[in-house]
Amino acid sequence: MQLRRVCYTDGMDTTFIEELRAIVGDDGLRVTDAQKHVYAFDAYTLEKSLPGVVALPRSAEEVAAVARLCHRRGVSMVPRGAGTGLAGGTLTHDNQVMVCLSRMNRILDIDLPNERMRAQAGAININLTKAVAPDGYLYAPDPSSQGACTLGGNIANNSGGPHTLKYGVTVNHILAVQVVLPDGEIVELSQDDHGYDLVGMIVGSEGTLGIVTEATVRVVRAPEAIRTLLAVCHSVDDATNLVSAIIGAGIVPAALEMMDQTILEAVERTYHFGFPTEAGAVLIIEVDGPEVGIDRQTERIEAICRDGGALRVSVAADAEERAKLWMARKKSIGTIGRLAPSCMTQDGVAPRTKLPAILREVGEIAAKYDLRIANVFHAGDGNLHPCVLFDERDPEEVKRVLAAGGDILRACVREGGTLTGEHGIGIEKQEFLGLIFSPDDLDTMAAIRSVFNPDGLLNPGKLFPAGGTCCPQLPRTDNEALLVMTHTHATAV
Amino acid sequence: MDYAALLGAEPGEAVQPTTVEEITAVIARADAEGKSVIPWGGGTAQDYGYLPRRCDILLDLSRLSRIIAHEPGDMTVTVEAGATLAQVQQTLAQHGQFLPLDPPDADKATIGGILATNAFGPSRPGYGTARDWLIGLKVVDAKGRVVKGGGKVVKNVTGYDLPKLHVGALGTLGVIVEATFKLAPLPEASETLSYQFAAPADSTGFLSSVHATLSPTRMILLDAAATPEQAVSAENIVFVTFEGQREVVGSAAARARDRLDAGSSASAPLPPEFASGLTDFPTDASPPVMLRLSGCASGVYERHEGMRQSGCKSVRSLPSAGVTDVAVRADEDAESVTARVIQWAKEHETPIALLKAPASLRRNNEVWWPLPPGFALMRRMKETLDPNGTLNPGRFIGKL
Ligand SMILES: Cc1cc2nc3c(=O)[nH]c(=O)nc-3n(C[C@H](O)[C@H](O)[C@H](O)COP(=O)(O)OP(=O)(O)OC[C@H]3O[C@@H](n4cnc5c(N)ncnc54)[C@H](O)[C@@H]3O)c2cc1C
Ligand SMILES: Cc1cc2nc3c(=O)[nH]c(=O)nc-3n(C[C@H](O)[C@H](O)[C@H](O)COP(=O)(O)OP(=O)(O)OC[C@H]3O[C@@H](n4cnc5c(N)ncnc54)[C@H](O)[C@@H]3O)c2cc1C
Repeated sequence: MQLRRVCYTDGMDTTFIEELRAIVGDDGLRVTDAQKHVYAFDAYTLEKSLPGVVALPRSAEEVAAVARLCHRRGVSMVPRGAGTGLAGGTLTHDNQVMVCLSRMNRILDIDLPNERMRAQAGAININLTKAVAPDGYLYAPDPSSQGACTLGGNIANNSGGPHTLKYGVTVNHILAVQVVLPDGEIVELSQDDHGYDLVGMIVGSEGTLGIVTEATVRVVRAPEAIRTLLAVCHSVDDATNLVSAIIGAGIVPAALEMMDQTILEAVERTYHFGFPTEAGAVLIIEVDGPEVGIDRQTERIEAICRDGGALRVSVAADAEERAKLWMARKKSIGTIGRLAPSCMTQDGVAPRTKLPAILREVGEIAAKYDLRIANVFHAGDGNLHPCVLFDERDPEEVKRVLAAGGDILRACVREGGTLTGEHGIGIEKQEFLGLIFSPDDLDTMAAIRSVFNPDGLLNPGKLFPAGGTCCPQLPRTDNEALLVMTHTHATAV
Repeated sequence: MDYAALLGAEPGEAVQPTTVEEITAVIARADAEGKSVIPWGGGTAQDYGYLPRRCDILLDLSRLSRIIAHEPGDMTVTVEAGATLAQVQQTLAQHGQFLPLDPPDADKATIGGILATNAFGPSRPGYGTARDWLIGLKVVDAKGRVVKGGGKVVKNVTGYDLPKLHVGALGTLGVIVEATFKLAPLPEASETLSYQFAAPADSTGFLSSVHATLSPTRMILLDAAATPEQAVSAENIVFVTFEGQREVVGSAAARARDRLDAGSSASAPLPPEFASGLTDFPTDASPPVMLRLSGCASGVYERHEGMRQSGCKSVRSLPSAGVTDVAVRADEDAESVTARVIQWAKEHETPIALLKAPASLRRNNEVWWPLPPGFALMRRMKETLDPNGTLNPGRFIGKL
């Protein structure tokens, strides 16, 4: 793999590296290019850079010591969990230290009487649920990447998932966090505390306010009964109209997801589930709750789907069939490799009633730029994920991809929506913030950042517009910034 | 209105703007002239917090009260801050929706005041608090600039979560002028069970078991000794509400009733004079005094019992929210009850807040105890966003 350095410096000096080594130990340091290649990008693959050094601490105290060292030496840090982020939030330049929490992955305490659990930031999302599942509980936020992504990354991005439609996103489940501030201070913040909601500030701050080392999360009781429906629709238009109809009827299912024909084709080529690939789109609709009411809820939704012109509606017969549907949904983005070498997933949001219009526009944008766009998304909360298929090795095509991405975001904003529902701004969408926020809004956010991160040493150059606060230029079309890569569909998942 | 009792001083002037532009002008002027601004919504919680360091301009938001847009299909609503909760609910109900917050005094309490105090009611276990429903916010900051965060969609991680910063900030970081919420469908059915138990262990046992298995939307444990007006003592009263789908509510209520086995000391139905306990926890002292202990749900009965043991006559807990409130009554001495409760809280390392108290009590006591570990950050936040101390100066935790 060949990398052009984005921001070349002489690299990190050896005494600094040795001081780091004294903190995290030999096995906690990645210094050679070969070791660092794995950390050169996350699931946003259009920009890559080798970190100066990667530190893998094992405790909050080690994170704090690293932060104190960096603070003293004026070196900036970038936190990383599993590197599944889709907005480039972990991109680390060669004059920066990547602090990777993946070895801090323990579940620390389970307190079911208070419906909470404490874990280290590097704990993998699915392991939270696994830890309490035997007692009939679960950790509700379930990003499709849950087999790999970490609690710390979930907190930093305020991640969602199919079931956050009913249960709420990460921020609704984080009760307390332990955070290392950029100067190395360890501070405990809790929602039980009086005062400003600093937990609410840390969640979604994309690693720009503090490094999360531990968190207390809420766990919820697993539902007694679950019904999962598959509604097959003639077209995307029909499917999105159904979404509006279901929500409009005052039904908020546990999950309401849409997959279009292109994504179905990719899933089918990989898994051979027997999905109707001739369908324009399918909806996966799940309801859960006490056994006694579940069938009437299911029937109501079935009726709405039939009245709304669904070609076919079926209810998963058993747990196995349900698992298959969710596997198809959750692994679907991973199957896109079958269709194209590269894929860029957008994350715009539109008001739910605007879904039919916005997806028509996405189709028009695809045609305009002569690109293929697959749609698989959290339809129930209006959170689009148009996956733009392309080949990263074709610089001309990359330009069209970026332009199409920009058009999609602008369309979402025009419809009253926003830039990102769960993936974050990172480096990917930083130049678009001006579409949503005024200079005064951004100035306020910068002021908030300065409260936690006064010297800008933590994850600099992310989340905020890099050049000026307004005028969204076309996104990162700058070829200099795009690294020359050989084949890289690989995400870090 | 006795401003001095609430604020410790008469305000220099009062303004009643009808537009955001007027508010920006008022605040920009105050900030430039070194004056303070005291936001005023329904005035139901102006006895919460320390006395403001200065009391120059009372900013009455009651005329900034439009419902800007209810989008039933998107299940969102955007309202101006001076709208009362009752007014908002009325609009939403026309489309079978509601904002699932039930703080006291919905007729008077405004959206801005509810957000600024993070007020909640007994429905918290079922629906959460304001931060769970707020999706967008517009404030006027200390410099008089309009600043917004969030948006109008139900899922959004664009930029920092500014709305959360203002929830419970008591108007010390910005004056809320507009808020957007996501909404819930009105429940199809609702059923409340209420019992009086003879033995405290039976009431807490019942509540614990209901909480652990049946997902009630509300749970209340009420203990009020007899008063001259109400001869019967309202001890060990329990309210449990189930809301949602008809069959689910019916079955949960039936299962809850089954928990009261033959040996239980429960008596039902409850005498009608107690019915108001479901929605109100009035303090009949004048001026009113109310204190709140908080903490883990599992410790709530110990706190409740602790308050009873230390002689408090009116105690109410919201068990799954971990909250125990003590209301001072007309036949009690406010100062000594307050002192006793604060002492108990400190001995048991339990966070405490004075929810309602006259100026004298707030002058002589900590309104919030303890200071949280993140207080240094909170101080920096206030100094950064309101460097001149224009907005409600001195009123919040640590006299920020
Ligand atoms: C196939 C696939 C499916 C996905 N599906 C979803 C989905 O359904 N919903 C969804 O919301 N997202 C989804 N994502 C995106 C991604 O998985 C989430 O954003 C996830 O939370 C990132 O976690 P991570 O541990 O990989 O974080 P990373 O990618 O390592 O980091 C993400 C950001 O968090 C910061 N960060 C990481 N750890 C910490 C810490 N301890 N303290 C402070 N900051 C930290 C980083 O600096 C960076 O800015 C998907 C990604 C992929 C590849
Ligand atoms: C936890 C809790 C429990 C409560 N329980 C009771 C109770 O049992 N009985 C009862 O009568 N009351 C109770 N209250 C008080 C009351 O119900 C709520 O706090 C009420 O919602 C306040 O609304 P208001 O419009 O009356 O605000 P106000 O009383 O006018 O203002 C309250 C505070 O918020 C600030 N504020 C108001 N509007 C804005 C705005 N737009 N922007 C910024 N700051 C603003 C004010 O400056 C003031 O500090 C309780 C309050 C709390 C916090």
